[in-house]
Amino acid sequence: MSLLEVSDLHVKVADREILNGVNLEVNPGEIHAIMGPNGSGKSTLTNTIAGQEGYTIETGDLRLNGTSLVDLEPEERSYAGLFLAFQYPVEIPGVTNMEFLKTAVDSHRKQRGETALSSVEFIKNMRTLVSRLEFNPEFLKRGVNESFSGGEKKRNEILQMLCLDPKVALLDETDSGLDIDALQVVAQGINEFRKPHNAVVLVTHYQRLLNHVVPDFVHVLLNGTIVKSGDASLALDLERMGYAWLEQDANP
Amino acid sequence: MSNNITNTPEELIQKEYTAGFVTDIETETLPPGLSEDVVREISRKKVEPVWLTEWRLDAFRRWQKMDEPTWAHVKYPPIDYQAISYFAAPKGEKPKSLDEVDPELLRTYEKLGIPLHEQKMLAGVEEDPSQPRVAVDAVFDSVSITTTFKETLKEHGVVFSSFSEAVHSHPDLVKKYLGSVVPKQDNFYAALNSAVFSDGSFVYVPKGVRCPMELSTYFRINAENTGQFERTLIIADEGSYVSYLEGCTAPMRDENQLHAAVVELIALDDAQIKYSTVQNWYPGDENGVGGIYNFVTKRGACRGARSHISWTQVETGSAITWKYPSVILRGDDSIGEFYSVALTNNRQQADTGTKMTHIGRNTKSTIISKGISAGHSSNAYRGLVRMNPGARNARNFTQCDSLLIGSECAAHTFPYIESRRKDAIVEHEATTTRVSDDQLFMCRQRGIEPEKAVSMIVNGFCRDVFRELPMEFAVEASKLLEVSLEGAVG
Amino acid sequence: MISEPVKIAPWLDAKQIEQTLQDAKMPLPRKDPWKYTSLNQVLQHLDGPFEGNDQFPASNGNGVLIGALCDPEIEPFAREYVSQVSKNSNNVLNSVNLLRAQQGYAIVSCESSESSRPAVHISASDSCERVLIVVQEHTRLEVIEHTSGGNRVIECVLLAGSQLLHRRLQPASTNVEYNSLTVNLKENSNYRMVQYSVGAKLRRNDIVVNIEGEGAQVDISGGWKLSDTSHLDTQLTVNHLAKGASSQQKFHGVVGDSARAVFNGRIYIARDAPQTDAHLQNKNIAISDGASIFTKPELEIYADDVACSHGATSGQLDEKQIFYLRTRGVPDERSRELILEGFLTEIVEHEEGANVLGIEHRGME
Repeated sequence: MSLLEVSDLHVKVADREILNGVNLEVNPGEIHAIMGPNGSGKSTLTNTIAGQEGYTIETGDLRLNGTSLVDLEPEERSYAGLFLAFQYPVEIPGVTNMEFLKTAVDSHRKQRGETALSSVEFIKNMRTLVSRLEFNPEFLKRGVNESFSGGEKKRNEILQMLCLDPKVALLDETDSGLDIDALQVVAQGINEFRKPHNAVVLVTHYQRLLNHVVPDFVHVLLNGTIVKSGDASLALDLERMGYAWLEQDANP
Repeated sequence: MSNNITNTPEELIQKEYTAGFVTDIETETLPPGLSEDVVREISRKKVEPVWLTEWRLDAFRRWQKMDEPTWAHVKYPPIDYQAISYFAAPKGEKPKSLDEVDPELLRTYEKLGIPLHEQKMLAGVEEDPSQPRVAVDAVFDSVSITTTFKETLKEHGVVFSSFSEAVHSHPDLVKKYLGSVVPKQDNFYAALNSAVFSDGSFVYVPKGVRCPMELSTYFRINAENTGQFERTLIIADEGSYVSYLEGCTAPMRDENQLHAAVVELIALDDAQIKYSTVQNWYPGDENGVGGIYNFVTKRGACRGARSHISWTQVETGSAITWKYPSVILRGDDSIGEFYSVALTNNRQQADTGTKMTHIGRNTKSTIISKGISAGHSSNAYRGLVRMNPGARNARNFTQCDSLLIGSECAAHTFPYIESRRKDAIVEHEATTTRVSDDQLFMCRQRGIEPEKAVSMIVNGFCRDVFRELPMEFAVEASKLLEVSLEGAVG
Repeated sequence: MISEPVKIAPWLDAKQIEQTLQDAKMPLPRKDPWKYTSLNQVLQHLDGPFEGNDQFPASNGNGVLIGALCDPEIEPFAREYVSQVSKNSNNVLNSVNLLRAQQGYAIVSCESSESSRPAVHISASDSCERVLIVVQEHTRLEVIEHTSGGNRVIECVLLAGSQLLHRRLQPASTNVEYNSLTVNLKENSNYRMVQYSVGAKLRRNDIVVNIEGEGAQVDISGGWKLSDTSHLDTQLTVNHLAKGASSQQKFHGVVGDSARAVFNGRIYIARDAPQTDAHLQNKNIAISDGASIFTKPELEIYADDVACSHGATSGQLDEKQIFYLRTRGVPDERSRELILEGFLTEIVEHEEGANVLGIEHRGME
């Protein structure tokens, strides 16, 4: 059984059809990259999977580990093992990163029938994780994304992903706006996360992240549908030739 | 089919008032109505000296000539001051010790989580000296039931008693300071209070003494159709320090009840008073029926050089709040602070803020106000920062933020700044935001349930103020907000 | 009741206006919005006498119509808008003006092009006058207004897609002066105003901006430099009544001698005005011990989907800045001047404004 299954997904946003029949199958241990130009529907796909308000599923299904996500609340999708690294992580002033992460982790534990971690234990775990990722430990004491730089926000998403250990991680343009150092940290985080039992879906504009995280499959999303799938070499073709050649294929 | 997200932030807010029970106890109540005779009767019941009776009568006569203020951003039907009873007390003699207190009353405080047994507190304390102790003055309707830890405090020379008792035990101090910060004619409600005040707390901390424990007064309105008019007077003599906490609750009743208190703080040279309030009067139901009208005058006077007064308030209750804890910064280098969280929900209305009057040199004030409006409520910050011509190098910083939850509520900011001094610096900043859908979605994506997420976001918004509360109060305040934000999901 | 025509707008009934004035709630002295300025002094001033003025404003270009309110070409506009634009502003002094006004005229923009916009000069005069400005759909207009004494009530309407640049110059004056301005904005219109003020005996500016159309934009700024015993009071209200509009307000003031500066900036956001973006800043520098500054930035918000902020400061020159300049060889006195100029320059956007404030204009036209 595949881990994430998107079948014939049609999605409307504000009465406009953005996705018209997306199919995607992600198996354990795989890394998928979804590429496409601006406005092709990449963020619509990730937001729909995560359950963002305002994305209406017309037809089609979303399954995680065989369970349909369509009628689940966002937090229930999270408990099912879905993680979305946001393209634009929001700030929550006054709520420290530590507090936020502990609340999230405790909520997950509660769902699994486990008791909450003691603060001491949690802080110890977090310190280890933070030092492994070479983040400044001060990071945990600051408000969630509050006056974080673009790079820090993206690192924070990776930290949360490692901390929650989901089955499927969707990363929405996590590479955009990063300098080369931050890009490497993000890539290192993804490689560390990757296990035979989980899967990663990278949504990206550019090939450069894919130099550090090599995908098993590359899909091209154009005008709300996947027009081409291939291996890592497809990303290189796109880098060289752009999307125009596919556009012609898609609209004969 | 669609992603069916049903919880908007406003749906997540449904307040459950846990202190709304009524204590079944025999009460002695004066019949409704207000006249010189009633004022005299209150004074007589308390066996007060003549000067105080006259003081009350003078206040009453002044009050009769005054008009109820209308400038606040609140609306309510006219109050019939003749329909209110001005005195209510549990029947019988005032208990001499805790053993004599009616068990029903003890149960009430137990239910409210207020410790009246010293032993219980002490047991924990002796093993853990880091655990701060709290002495409590419990005011039930118009009278003080008991004051704990009086003996321990006495060893340090600290006077902590009910106001009525202080009138007899420390008449000189009461006479000297009563009305010295809030004159009896100060405003309509202060005049009313001066005429009919029943009880309250009195604190005197002598020179150089650091009060060994937190002092706390717990106000409880129980009787029907009565108003509560307590009077608190705190004097911190030179070089002393005291931290004082105030809590309030009332039963759920359909009619509005009036609470018009006066609090006066006096800090002499190098003294510090920290006054914290968690105000949880019954706010009325979701349609705005019932609830307390909280019309309170609180003012501190930094009389001495380097004196320091800070007000920290967490306001979640009351149908209407009209309250401006203020500081008069007369002593050179004195410091005034105001930290406030005011949460309004349903039909609650709050008009609250502070006045910082800078008179002395190098005086400093800080104002941090966090207003949260939800439901159909209205929440206003009203402030005045005044730099008098003699306030050399005075400084003020004000940060005033509003958080809106839902589209039916309202948030207002009315900050007056008056500077008559070149080298005085006043800075005021204000923002208005809401709990955004994006914040909520991000929390939910990480597995945090919507109500938990809203309460976390609101708590974060209030962090700067909670930091100023004494530890136990901070926890209580944070819980109180959570309760206020708890409710039906989906 | 026998009707009696209003002199400048004969279709209006003076008796009726008098009646409504009598019924209206008069503002109270020493209460908002007359807390810091003597209402009696202003009322006395409105009693006159005023010097007459029979000059209409001049325009430098075509595409604009200027004439008396009862001029046949103007009258249809006047009938539609005079006393209507400001009818919700709850300011009885506007009605007093209507009864006393010696002259009333309108400025109506009729056409403009991308490359040029007509500019109209309203000159200063110690008279009592009523002015209507109509900026018609998709036209652009510039108004340069001089005030000095007198009583001028301006009603201004910006129709859909129009633009108005309003420069108000308030030079030194020994008179009492009362100006009232109401601006109503329709969809996607754009109002930009800059007010430059120096001392007057008493100068009061009431400004009410009503954003009635979606997507309208308002940008108001002002600078003042007061000395002697002058008194300036600016009361600005921006009412957001339609969604998706934005407003920016920025006022910088320097107050010296025993002058008084009063500023009240109020942002009101109605329940029907979500997606509003509104910000206000007022900064003051006092340069003498006798100077007084009274400021109150207000927010009154009834919609939750908004981004609003305000700020106000009052202080003195930053000694660190002065020290920095002095280490670079600029004498103390000149350092202070430079810093104050810089502070006011943030507001100044054209030469004439800089002249009023007595500073050098460094910006771009």
